[in-house]
Amino acid sequence: MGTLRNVGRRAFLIGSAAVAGGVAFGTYAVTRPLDNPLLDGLADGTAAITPYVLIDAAGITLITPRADKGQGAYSVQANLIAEELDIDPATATITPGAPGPAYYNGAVLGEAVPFPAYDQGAVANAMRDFMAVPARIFEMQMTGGSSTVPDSYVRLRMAGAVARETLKAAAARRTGLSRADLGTDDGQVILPDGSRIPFTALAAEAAMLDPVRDVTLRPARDWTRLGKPMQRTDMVAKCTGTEVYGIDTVIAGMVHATVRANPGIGGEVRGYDASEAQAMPGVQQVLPVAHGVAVVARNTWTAFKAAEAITIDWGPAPYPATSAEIFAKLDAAVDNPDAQDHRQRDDGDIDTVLQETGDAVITAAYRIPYLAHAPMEPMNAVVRVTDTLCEIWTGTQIPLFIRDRAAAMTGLDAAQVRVNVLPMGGSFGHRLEMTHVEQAVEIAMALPGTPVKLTWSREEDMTHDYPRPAAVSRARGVVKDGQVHALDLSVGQSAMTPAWFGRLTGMSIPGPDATITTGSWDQPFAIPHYRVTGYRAPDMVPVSSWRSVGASGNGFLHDAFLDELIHAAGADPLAERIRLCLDPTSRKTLETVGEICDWQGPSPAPGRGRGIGFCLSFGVPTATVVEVTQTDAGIRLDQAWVAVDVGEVLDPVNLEAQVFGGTIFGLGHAMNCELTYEDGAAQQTNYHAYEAMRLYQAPPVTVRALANGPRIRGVGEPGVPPAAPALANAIFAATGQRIRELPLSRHINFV
Amino acid sequence: MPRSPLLVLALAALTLPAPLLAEGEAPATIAPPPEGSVTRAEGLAAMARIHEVTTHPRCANCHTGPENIPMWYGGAAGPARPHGMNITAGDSRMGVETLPCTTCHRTSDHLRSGLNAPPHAGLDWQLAPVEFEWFEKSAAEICAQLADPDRNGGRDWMGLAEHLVEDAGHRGFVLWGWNPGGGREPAPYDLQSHVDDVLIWGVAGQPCPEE
Repeated sequence: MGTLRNVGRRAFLIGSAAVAGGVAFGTYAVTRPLDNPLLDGLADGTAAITPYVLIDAAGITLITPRADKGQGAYSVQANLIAEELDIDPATATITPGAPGPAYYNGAVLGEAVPFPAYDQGAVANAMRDFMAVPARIFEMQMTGGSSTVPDSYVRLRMAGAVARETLKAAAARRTGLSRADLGTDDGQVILPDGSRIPFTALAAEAAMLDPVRDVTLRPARDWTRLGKPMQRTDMVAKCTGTEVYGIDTVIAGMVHATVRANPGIGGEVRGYDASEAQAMPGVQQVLPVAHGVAVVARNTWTAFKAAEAITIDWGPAPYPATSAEIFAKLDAAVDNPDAQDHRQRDDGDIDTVLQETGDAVITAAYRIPYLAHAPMEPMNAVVRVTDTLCEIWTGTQIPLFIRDRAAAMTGLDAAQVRVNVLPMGGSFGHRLEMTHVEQAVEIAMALPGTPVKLTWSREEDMTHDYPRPAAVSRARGVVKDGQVHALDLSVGQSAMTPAWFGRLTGMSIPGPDATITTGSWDQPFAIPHYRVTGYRAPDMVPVSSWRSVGASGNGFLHDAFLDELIHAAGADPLAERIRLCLDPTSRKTLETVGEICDWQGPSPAPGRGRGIGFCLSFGVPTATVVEVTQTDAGIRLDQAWVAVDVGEVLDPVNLEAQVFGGTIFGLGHAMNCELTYEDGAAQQTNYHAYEAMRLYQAPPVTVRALANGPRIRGVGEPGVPPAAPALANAIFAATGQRIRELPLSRHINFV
Repeated sequence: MPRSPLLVLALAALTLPAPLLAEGEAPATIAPPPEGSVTRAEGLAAMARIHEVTTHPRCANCHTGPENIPMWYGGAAGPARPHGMNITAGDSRMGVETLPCTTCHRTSDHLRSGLNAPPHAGLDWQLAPVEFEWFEKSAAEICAQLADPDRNGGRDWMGLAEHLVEDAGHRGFVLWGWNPGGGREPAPYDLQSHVDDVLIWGVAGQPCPEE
């Protein structure tokens, strides 16, 4: 149980570093109104009432500062504003706007508090709310952690309401009527006599007023947009192929570049011979960049071909060169007291129980591989640097970190760096990194005034991805009287958060890294003797967050072993999870998945198996049932059912798409994907060797959304963690084969 | 060497598309050994090498059985499994009516086959006739098949050698098997050796190994 006694230090360090380490600054930064970035260069007759709504005579612009990686974030943000503003978002311009501190993410750090999500006590929730303070101080305009909806749910509706009431105030002033007598509808203020004044006609007057702040949000029963299927604002462009992604950016006069960096990430360049590349038609320049060599050419393909033609002498990678050495280091870390990172769950008396049980203790060792993010759109950025300005066009989840890094690299002030955030062809966490932007800035500094478009080849993208960490676990358990009595899980992994945050800020984070056990220590089960310990393996492949972050791997390590114990106890996998569940919301989720799949036990017919997987991640309990059939040629995935509880459903269609997609993503990676290392380099360089799931292998997925949880939550990630254990558990039910290593295709064929 | 040798090979293959054959040059010559000059043991040894070639992924992946499913295996494709994307070549063996093999597999005079790109060959892509099934067949089975005109296209051993050379002359699959590009492992030996082995086996009286 998470208590203050065993709180992870890191969670406090983020807060207390800000508060205790810089009280004056901190207090000032927290209480000072943040600048409204729309006020910079605002034209006459334009009103920027909040940082999210811009109205002028030509129309209404909604600012949706959380990045859209394909998950519908722009749409949901626009609809949150529109619900209170009384406009149809289809009539507005929707743009992420210029990045700014006002757009800090107040929810993303909430996951870092040392309380399990099912703990909704006052202390836990106060801590979650408090985490908005360091997020604001650190100017964390960031998209991630399934936080877009929880962060913007109140904030954007408030923005819409403030704008609406201020426009009404302007209309009241013009007409001499009372604001209370005015209404709004479809972008217009309605007067008592039924006549209407468009918002656009009131913009200039509204700009003269202090915003009306005493607004009340509409209750859900009065919603006209939220809670119903929305027309996603990006669908027409995406369905017609006209969406302009970062990689489609065209800036007049731009040149095209690519980079080949040491495939041993962080390794040096000892020397290179570019004579052949330089002689190729269309090649303009070959120049060194950090850890690699860049080619500037007349087009991207020429740059790619020239980069391949360079002979480069690479230094060794600054981490173990092979997968065998990497896993040996993980094995050496797990259960090694010197490598213990944290222990956030320690219920009952596990040591005594294990000792008393002796040889009857059930043990298992699991391992999971590194995984690449591998979005369809490889990393790219356009950068132009002059003496006074650095302009950047890229799809990113971290625009202010990019701004600050570019400022540091160029010597410009942060205000002289403009980051234009563009739609993204996927990310899965890859665009929480900025190595490619740093390279583009480096090249652009060598070509002052010239826009440089840097594009990574797929091979560069996969070998320079900071992957999801590989991990091993050692698990021990005891069953008694047909029930799970004890579970002791040790997870060995490299730390993700310090690696990532260090790359972004140059700051090191002391203390433990919760991601090593996220998704295992915080599960809502009342196992009498229950311990989860994280061990850290140092100096490994530099890693990053990957869709569902720590829970992506721990969901498998924890739940698959729990399934082993339930089987050993002779209990039903669903019934025993429900019996153990201590959280009503999670229990209802488990019960619901049982209802929608008509659960009749794990073996519905000979050769067929059903597995259940459960993980509470990002505050969303998610229960997945997968059904498989054993055929002569291998395992066939027949169906999947998923129940989730997000507290409040804003768009049922998009929710289903996110959970469906997360399930397929989780299943496909569990089936087929891994990054292995040889000579310090990832061996899988493209989709031919990293192919996830084929379309014909994809099972139908039935999604049932619940809204019993106490807080509204995001659902971009929670579908992922239970998918892998559900599949592995289904394979066990169908075949009796317990596979404790991912990808499952190492041990079994899929058809 | 930081990158795997396979990748270096693949990149070299991408950047250096060496000319395979000069214009008009014969891809291989047919020069059978004199009658009676080859022992049965030498014929069996030749068949063993022929078996290595025919069951190699570059050859066997398209010599599959009545399920009409091409296979993927070898190199980056990993262990044997059906061709991805749920492909079936249909009864025509050229792809089902709505999705012929040539949707992805290009017919081209240039045997260009980049890393991760579908192969090119000079003939329209299709599976070999079903009676030519080689996939995971033993040397005895393939030998019997090659010796049986009902299952080899009505050819004697000289006809088989001529078929190999003619197909290669069209930059067909035989030549592609030894020039697959893109980091794919080529079939063992080379075209001339394979033709010579067919001739040795033929002159030896087409001996077949025991099961």
